[in-house]
Amino acid sequence: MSTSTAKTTIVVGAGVIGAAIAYDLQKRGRNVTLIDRDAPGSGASFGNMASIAVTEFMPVARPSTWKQIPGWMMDPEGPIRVSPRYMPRLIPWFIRFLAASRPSAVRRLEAAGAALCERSLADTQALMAEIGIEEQLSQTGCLSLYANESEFQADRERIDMLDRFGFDYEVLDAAAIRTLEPEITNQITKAVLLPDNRTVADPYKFVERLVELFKGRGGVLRQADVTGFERGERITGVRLDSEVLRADEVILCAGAFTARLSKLLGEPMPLETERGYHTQIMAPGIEMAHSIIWPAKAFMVSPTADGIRVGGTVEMAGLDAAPDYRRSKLTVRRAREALPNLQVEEFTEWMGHRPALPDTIPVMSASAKTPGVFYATGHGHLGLTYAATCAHLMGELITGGRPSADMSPYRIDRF
Amino acid sequence: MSYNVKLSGVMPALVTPFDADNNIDFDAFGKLLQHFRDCGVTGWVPNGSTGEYFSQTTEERRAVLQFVKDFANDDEILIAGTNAPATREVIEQTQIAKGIGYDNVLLAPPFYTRPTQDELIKHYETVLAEVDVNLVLYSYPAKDGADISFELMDHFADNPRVIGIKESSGVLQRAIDIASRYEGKIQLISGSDDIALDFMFWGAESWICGPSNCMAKACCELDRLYQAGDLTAAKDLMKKLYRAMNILESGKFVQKIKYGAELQGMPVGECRAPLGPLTVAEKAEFKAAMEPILAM
Repeated sequence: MSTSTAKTTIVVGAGVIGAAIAYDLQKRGRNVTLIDRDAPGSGASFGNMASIAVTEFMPVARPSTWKQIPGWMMDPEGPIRVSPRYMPRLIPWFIRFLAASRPSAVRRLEAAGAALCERSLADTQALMAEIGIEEQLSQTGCLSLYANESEFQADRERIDMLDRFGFDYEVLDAAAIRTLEPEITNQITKAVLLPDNRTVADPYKFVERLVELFKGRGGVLRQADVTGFERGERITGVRLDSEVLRADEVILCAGAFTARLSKLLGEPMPLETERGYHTQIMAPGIEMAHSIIWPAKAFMVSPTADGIRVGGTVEMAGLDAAPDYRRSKLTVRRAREALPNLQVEEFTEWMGHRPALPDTIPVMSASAKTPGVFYATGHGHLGLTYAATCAHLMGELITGGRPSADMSPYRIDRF
Repeated sequence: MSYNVKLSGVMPALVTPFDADNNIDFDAFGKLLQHFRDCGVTGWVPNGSTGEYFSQTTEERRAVLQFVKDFANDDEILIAGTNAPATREVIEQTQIAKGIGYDNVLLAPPFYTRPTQDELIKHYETVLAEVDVNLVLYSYPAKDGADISFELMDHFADNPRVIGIKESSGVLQRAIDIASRYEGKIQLISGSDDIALDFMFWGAESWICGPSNCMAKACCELDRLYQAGDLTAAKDLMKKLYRAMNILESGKFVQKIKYGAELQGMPVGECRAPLGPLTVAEKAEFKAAMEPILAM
């Protein structure tokens, strides 16, 4: 596929986004090198909740957000936890976050997320089939649980949004819930079935298979730290510790770490990290077909290939602070309220850094400063969900095709 | 979405090439289509007014539709112009198109008779009832002598077979109004070439584009830049295109388009009578406007 005239392209970041972009660009005839300082798929793409969460595009910042913020600071058990020590560094991000919660902005941001989510399942299915791992994707969706009518009403905002954009869902009563998932506690009296929110049995396999095919077709994988860039009128290379790799194009998709790289190019972006936790329970003692979320308790449970994965809650404490596994203990406690028979004996705990932009909308864009540089980051809690769609759109954008979606909402110079 | 077919990108409103004997020149046609495909068009709209359907026999119209259909790939949108002065004839032409494999037709109000809005609604309903096709409305009142009113669009807004409107009135306010009133119901299609970028801004995701016959690369690039979110570059390109687009809109549209095709090195012959050749001065003016575009 590669020819002597083909452009040389470097993709920085081998999470699910970078792996999918490298794979896509290679298909489009580019000579691609994929660089990561760690093994592919070992960051946020490893420990996510394994969900193609097509209905979860609601911007985090909403008009109702303002009154919740004091709780985030004070309550260490709240759904979002802001480390008081980290707060001073968060202030510029928070100002933008609050600006994104204006009603007029929220509607626009919802539409930008919906435009990706409405095609993400089909794009994911197509990509998984193409790389021969379609069996990894479940046929069943996700159940959103409510203990009572007031919990359901509190989640109305989300359901109204699904109505506005025409996403499928079905409201279930207690009997229907028990038929679908007998393990769910009787406390739950109502649920919304989200049929398109599928589970990926092992999200790590997705990255692994993409990289395996990429390498098999002549792609180069390098484990190295990117320390700088070479550029004149446009980008000409990527600097590693002791060498320079020549490049016609550079794609920066290093998740939460992308802002450190873009800063080296004089193009800062307001990227923070939502630290996410999970607990992988190898012998849960129960079986589930659907993933579940319980909005009032802010956790998610996904049935994966290696047992049951429990996660949820967001912690804002930057890239350097040590994990605080009290966060994952807390979500497991809540998950056991929903699943009383869940046994938590053999388990592992994990923390990773999701890339969070203040308006919840990813950056998928050409650099506004350096020709030949592109960015794909800020996918928040939807990295796995957006990966196939993002790779397709970035492939079109980078190779000069007509992007099959309006890319203006995802530009880097919007901030 | 309440329409059957999603339209996107640049779809040339194709000229029909004629040879020196005034017969359809399919060799030239084939080269032209290949060139458009290489430039990145997304579909084909044969036998509109740019295709001089008015000058063709039924057999010629059939042959053009068949030729384009045979050329088209499965992922390219096909929309046939099946206009005629009377409802009965529109149905006949639409049946022919459907028989060849066109699932979408572009229909202006029948010319000359100036039907009322009620008559026009009846006209479109009859065609839709007789032939199983999707309809793209075509608004060009200066040419047709009849409006496509909001009352008419209200009537068809919830009909999934009425998929869009090619708005060629040149009135930007109408584009804004259509985009606001019928979002998700009737797709706004750019048909006012000298304000094409404004149409994109107001949500026109597709462009049934006459000028692409002589500047396909530039038209596709404008559409691509807008989609890529690069508004500054799109604006710069629109400035470059504007003079030529505006000269086209000022009269002798098809004659100038065909001359433009000659300028880009793919001659398609002259227009059929009553349309005649351009004057020397008209050619010079259009050539000057085309030069920066052809240099791209």
